[in-house]
Amino acid sequence: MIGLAHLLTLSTILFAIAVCGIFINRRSVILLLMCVELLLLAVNFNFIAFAYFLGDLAGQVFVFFILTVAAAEAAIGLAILVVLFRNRISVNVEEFSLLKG
Amino acid sequence: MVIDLADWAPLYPELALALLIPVLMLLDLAVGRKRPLVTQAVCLAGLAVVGWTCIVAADGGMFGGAFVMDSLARLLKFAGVLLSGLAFVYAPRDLREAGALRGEYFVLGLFALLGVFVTASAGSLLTLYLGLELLALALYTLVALQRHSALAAEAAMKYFVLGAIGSGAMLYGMSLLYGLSGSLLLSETAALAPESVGAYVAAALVLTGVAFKLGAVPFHQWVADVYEGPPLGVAVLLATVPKLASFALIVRLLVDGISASQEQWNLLLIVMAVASLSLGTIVAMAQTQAARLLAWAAIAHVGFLLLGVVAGGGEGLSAALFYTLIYVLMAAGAFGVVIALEKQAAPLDSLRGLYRRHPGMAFIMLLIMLSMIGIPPLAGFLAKWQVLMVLVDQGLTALAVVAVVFAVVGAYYYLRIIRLMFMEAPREQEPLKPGWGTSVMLGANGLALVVIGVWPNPLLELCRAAFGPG
Repeated sequence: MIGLAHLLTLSTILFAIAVCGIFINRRSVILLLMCVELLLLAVNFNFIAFAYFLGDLAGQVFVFFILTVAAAEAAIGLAILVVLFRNRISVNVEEFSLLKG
Repeated sequence: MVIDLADWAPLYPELALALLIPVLMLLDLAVGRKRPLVTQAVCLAGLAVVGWTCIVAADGGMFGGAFVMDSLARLLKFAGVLLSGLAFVYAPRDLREAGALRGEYFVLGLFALLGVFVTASAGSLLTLYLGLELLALALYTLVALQRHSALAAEAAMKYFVLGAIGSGAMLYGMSLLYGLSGSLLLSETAALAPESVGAYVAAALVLTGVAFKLGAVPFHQWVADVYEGPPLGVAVLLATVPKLASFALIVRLLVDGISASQEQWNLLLIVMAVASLSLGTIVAMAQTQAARLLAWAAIAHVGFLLLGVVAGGGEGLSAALFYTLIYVLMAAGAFGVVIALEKQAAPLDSLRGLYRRHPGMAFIMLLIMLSMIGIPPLAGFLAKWQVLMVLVDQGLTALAVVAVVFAVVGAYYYLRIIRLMFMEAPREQEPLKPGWGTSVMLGANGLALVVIGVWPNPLLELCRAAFGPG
């Protein structure tokens, strides 16, 4: 029987993979965008698991909102990526050093 | 079914703004393509109406408590309208030079404002998240508005990725909060047991998200880049309006939502506040770009307002709110002057000899700088004083001393700007010609700092009323 703890462990692992992916990745911005998506999916997993075990629908509704926002966010992220690529002819993270921060 | 508009009274500002946005978009499509200033005029007129609805909207909850209109929300919304109005007057001059003066600027700015509105009124985790994302998505796009600039695109990408991590962490914390309390309503998540490990993790994750949005150390890396990359006209909006949403986020999520584990997050908050104050102040001294200097100064100011939150209670929070409102007013004015210098990516040198080129503007900048240092009788002094008083009252004297020390150290770079403006000879001789709109608004902006400084009670009362008699 799969319990809440199993599901939470899985979502924590997904979250960790996403965060590591963002910070370790030194190559492509596209990978960064994928990691951001994974981050949100880990959260969705959490919400669905909690909603199921609490017997409360609000958490599942939240997931729909997150999915919608994530779609908009991905669209904007890719649009920024296109602008960036047109200006730099590259999607390599290490080359983005015009700004010092 | 008859829909009675009076039932929607708490929602008037959002409804008005949501109506204004599509109207403005269509208008821009029809006439604004060639004449963006028409869009600007209609946008400002619409904002005035939205500001009026903020005043007349009734207090109360909507949608089962997911949306709350109270005096805090009203004050933040009205301030948001005022600040975006200022930004919309200051910005066009700079955007035109950057080749980015399009109607989209105003439309996206209004979307960001709508995000602030929803965040300020959030009564549940869902509304809070949606408000923040609406704000963030509009801002990512605004930063990339100048399409042919590699600098702006890079800043947008950095902002996007770091912002997404911030909201991801906060969302994960929210999901834990939901799992532990079984409710999305912030009034019910507060009843959470403070002892559980899950609650600590949730608080830490939520705090990470808050720090990202605020730009507090150690999650401050994006601030300087995002202020410098896009045109200054976008930066003025970025530096002011989102700060209001961040403050609403602190109050709604930290203070209301996870009050149970306050002892834990207060400790983290102290570390963040002191780190922001010290790092912001010290790094700001080494800056040569006006936008970067203002960005690092912003980090220091965020540290100061966090100290007000640390002191806690109605007194501390109202002091922090007062500080936030005064700070955004000063930041808007400072960006307004820098924009009027007609220099893109203005180095500090372009302020050199401003007094000879335009005495009035130099005087306004002088007021703003003195207010940022905290010289009485200007508003900035009072804002700092309020926070310090609360800290001392709460027995946090050590924090108050640290704050004063860094406020004094920070005076160095503000005084440097004043010296540049008044004591040095200008590089370019021709006098500046800011438009009359910019002149009037800058004058009003500077005057407001003096008036609030001398006669602070109305605003202070509003700030106190926002947190009840407590």
